[in-house]
Order: sequence, then C-alpha cells, then structure tokens
Amino acid sequence: MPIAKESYASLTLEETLAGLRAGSFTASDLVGAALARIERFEPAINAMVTLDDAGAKAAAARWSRDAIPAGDAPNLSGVPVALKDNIMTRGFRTTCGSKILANFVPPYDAATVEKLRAAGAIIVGKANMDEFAMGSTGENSAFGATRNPWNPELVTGGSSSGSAAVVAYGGVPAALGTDTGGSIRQPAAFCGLVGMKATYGRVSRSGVGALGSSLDQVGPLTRTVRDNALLYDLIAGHDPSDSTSLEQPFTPTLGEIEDGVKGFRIAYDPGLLESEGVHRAHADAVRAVVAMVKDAGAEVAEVSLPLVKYGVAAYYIICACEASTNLARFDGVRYSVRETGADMWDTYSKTRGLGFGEEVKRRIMMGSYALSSGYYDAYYLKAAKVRRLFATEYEKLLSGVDAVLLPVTPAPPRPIGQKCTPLECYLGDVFTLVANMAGIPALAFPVGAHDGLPVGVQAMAGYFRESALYRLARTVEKNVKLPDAPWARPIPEGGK
Amino acid sequence: MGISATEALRLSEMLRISLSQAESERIADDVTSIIDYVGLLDELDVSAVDPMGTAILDNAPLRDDVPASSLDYADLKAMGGGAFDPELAAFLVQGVFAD
Repeated sequence: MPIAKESYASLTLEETLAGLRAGSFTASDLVGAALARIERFEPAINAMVTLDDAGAKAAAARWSRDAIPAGDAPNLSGVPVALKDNIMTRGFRTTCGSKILANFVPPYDAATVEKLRAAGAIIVGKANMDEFAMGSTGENSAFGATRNPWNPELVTGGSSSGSAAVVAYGGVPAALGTDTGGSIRQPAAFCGLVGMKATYGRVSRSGVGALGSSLDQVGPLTRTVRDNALLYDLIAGHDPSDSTSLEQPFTPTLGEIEDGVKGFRIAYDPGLLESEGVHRAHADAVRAVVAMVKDAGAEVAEVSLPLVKYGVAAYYIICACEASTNLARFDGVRYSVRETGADMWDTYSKTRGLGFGEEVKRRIMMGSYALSSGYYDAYYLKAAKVRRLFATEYEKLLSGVDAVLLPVTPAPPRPIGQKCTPLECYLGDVFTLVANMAGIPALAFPVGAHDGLPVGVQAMAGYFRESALYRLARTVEKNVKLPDAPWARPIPEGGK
Repeated sequence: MGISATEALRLSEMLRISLSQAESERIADDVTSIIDYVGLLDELDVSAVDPMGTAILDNAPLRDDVPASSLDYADLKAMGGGAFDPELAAFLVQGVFAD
C-alpha cells in the first residue's frame, strides 16, 4: 500500500525503517514521496543543488521487503537521505556550493558515503551549502540562498543549510552535514533539528571537501535524538584512509540513549547567559534545560567560561589559514571549471577570480596574510597557542562534569539579505566554534520555540563522550514539543 | 594595522586570484577590520604556551627529526613507470596547455 505523502514527511528514521520491515510501504513508495515533497518545496526553499531522481528510484527498486534486513539492528535499507554537497559521491556532481566546481564529478565516494551505501541508504541528492562551507547563513552559495522552512523570509543558518532545510520540510528523514565552526549545529538549531559534531577524528573526513582540516567533522542532522544517534553510530569509527581518524574503541550510542541523566553532573555559565548580545530566548532555553536535567536527577554546576570571548578571533585565523592552503588546489587545471587566460598564470588567476565567491576570496587572502613571513608569529602562531588554552580549559572542565550547556547562537536567524559585515557574521559562531577548537563533541537539539521559531541549545562533552550528549538530549526531548513544525505541514499547492 | 587596497591587489596576484578594484577595496577593508579584532588576543599571555595544530590534545606526535637517505634515481625510475627523466631530475607529465 503506497504511503500517503503527508504521512511520509512526519516519519522518523526509525519509523521509516520499521514501516519498511513491516511491509507497510516499500522503498519505492518512500522515494516517490520524498521526490514529490522535494519538488513542491524546492521553489520556495532551495535546499537541493542536484537531485538524483533516476538513481534513487533505481536504488529503491532493489529494496523489496525481503531484502530489508530483519531484526532490530540499525541500518538504513531503503531509507532516503541527502548529503551536503561537499561530501564526495562517485559519478555524481559535487560542487561544494561553488562555481569553481560547478561540473565536478568525483571519481570516488567519501568514506561516510560508502558506509551509508553499505547500510542500504538511498541518496536522493546533494544539498545546498555556503561555498566551501564558509558561512553561517546559507546565503554564500553559488546556487542561491537556502530559505528557512519555518519562515522562508529567514536564513536557515549555515553552512549545512540545505541539509537542514530538506530534513526540516520533510524531504528526507535525515541528512549529513559538516561542521567546522558550527555548520551542523547552527542550521540544526534554526530549523528545529538535532545536529551532532562528533569528537574530532571520530568520523572519517576522507572524501570531504576540506575547509579547515583540523576543525572539520561530518555529522548527522535529523528530527529526533534517537534518529541522530542511529545515523551517527553508522558513520562513526576508525578509517585508515583518513590520517586524522582515531583508533579508539567505539560503543554504539543508541543502546544507552534511554538511560537518562540521573547521576550526571551538568555545567553551565550563568554569567555568559547575561552577556550583551545574547537573546533572552536563547538564554532562557539553556535555563530551561538546566531545570529539566535537574528534575531528571542530574546535579547542576555553575562554572565560568572566560575564554569564550576570544574564540572568534583565534578561530577565524586558524580556519582562514587552513582554508587558504586547502583551496590552493583549485586552479582550473585539475578540477572542473576553467577560465582560459593568455598564459598559465593568467588562467589560474581568472579561474580562481571568477570561480570563487567573495567570502572565499576574503578568507584565502586573510589566511595567506596571516601565514606570511613577518606576520606568522603575530597571527597564526598566537591563535594556535590560544587554541591550546581552549583545549586545556575544556579538558579540565569536562573531566569534572558530564556535559556543559551553551546557547547554539547568540541570536535568532536573521532575514535573508540583511547586510552584515564579515566580522558581525563571524560573531554568530561564538558559542559553537569552541567545540571545534577543542576537538570535543557537541550536540544541538531543540528545546522550544519563540515567536514561532525553534530555539536550540547545545551540550558539549569530553572526548568520545557522544553517548552522554545523546542521553542528555533524549531526556530533554521527552519534555519538548515544537509547534507547527514544517515537516508536519501539508505539501504546498502548485510548485514546478 | 591592516592592509591597503594596493596591498590586497598584490596579495591577490601572488595567490593567483584576479580581483576587480572594487573587490580589492572591499576585501582590504574587511581584512583590516578582522585583523583589528584579532588584536583582542593580545589580552592573553601565551608566552609559555605551546601552539596546538591539531584538534585533539597530543594526538599527532611527530616522529623524531632525524636525517634519512633519499630515494635514488633507480628507485624513482621504478616508481615513475618510465616518466622519470634523470637528466632533468624530474617526472615528465603531459602538458596542460601544449597541443
């Protein structure tokens, strides 16, 4: 019996898999419903760069009911998912949101894509993003801004803008994004989703278009905490093809997710919530989580996080320096688009000048400047020292508590097109980039709504303690209901 | 501190990124304001702090910095599938711009 298109959008990942196993619908039904919903929402939202209708339908046809693995073992057999467009897909266009890679077709799959395919996931397409993951609004894409499904006049957050939006409007139950300074957690919060940035090295970066190699991590965006843990468990683990992947024992998180927070010690900084620029609703959301975990049996500790205010300055030096080296490879010779010039040097310059957007050029120039002779010590070296202060401070803090709570962003999503200087935009990452600097895991999850928009909170834990974050977020989730979520809305009339 | 539009243009030339005059002026202003902001780090005393280039504390220890023998020409010839030219001491690859 084909699935009703309205029911599809509200199905969680777990419900989708259960329905497939029970024979309530087929993978072809799901993919049909997904593509129909995507087609109707895309003109208003612009979450997807490239759809793989034919590939998704062909993949779905292979997942008959008998082919779905029985039992409760987590897998994604027959489940449609989307990928941020900086995650390589063999034989399928991967643009990194940039004109310079507008027709780039990778010859291999990213390690996380290999894992998803092995688990049976059906990739319906590639999601829009800020160019080379440089942005926190979703507006810096060569393929146009992504709009927020909760209110299309507002930004989704970025840089995993499309991954968040397509899950939020019910196009797919889950997507992968990448997080260099908050690029999963911030759009997750603005779109009412759960987003995980794992411990650096826990999820392979092999096959991911690099922004800041010492900061990037791949992670899941979903509508529920359990779904997020399910997907995280599938993509986590050591990968020898990524030299920064860690050989650490891994225990799936889903098995412990209902264990609650009784006996946990959870910290927050009350003074930080009173800081100038922190929206009252975002501060109140943290206080609400504090109350919920107290009720659930956790002990709450008040701490001070004095380094937070230095994070943006150090992070944007380190990230720009790493970006400037990573993006040196795009020269018009080895990849995709080329603007032919009078000679080789002119071809390089024209290709990069026309192929990169302004934010990318700005960061390449900033990074190269900071790494140049005479300035290295004053900028990069100093920022790298400050990074150690961060790592040390958070290691010490998190050795005494199970998690620390922070707002995801200081302020709610801004209107599309609202002008801000680069520095003003960067300051929106002040609370998220802490986890990337220190390499620790952080999870954003919805806590409530304000003025019709979701409000999220993030929790950070010590290295490899993702399980504690999921237990905390699952405890909170049981107390939260988001009103009028876009995935529960009917398909709009018309469309293309 | 900061950079001028002229310095931004010079930087862009070295980075092989063509910029219009207007772009170079905007980017110079932006980079200057970011550099000014980064001055905030001067409040921290990091004189006794080791820099950290990886995200996990002490995750990437470097091997001992000891001299080792380089590959000789025979090794390079074997690796290059005939592309290594000992006279030029270089690997020959197909020209990108040549016919």
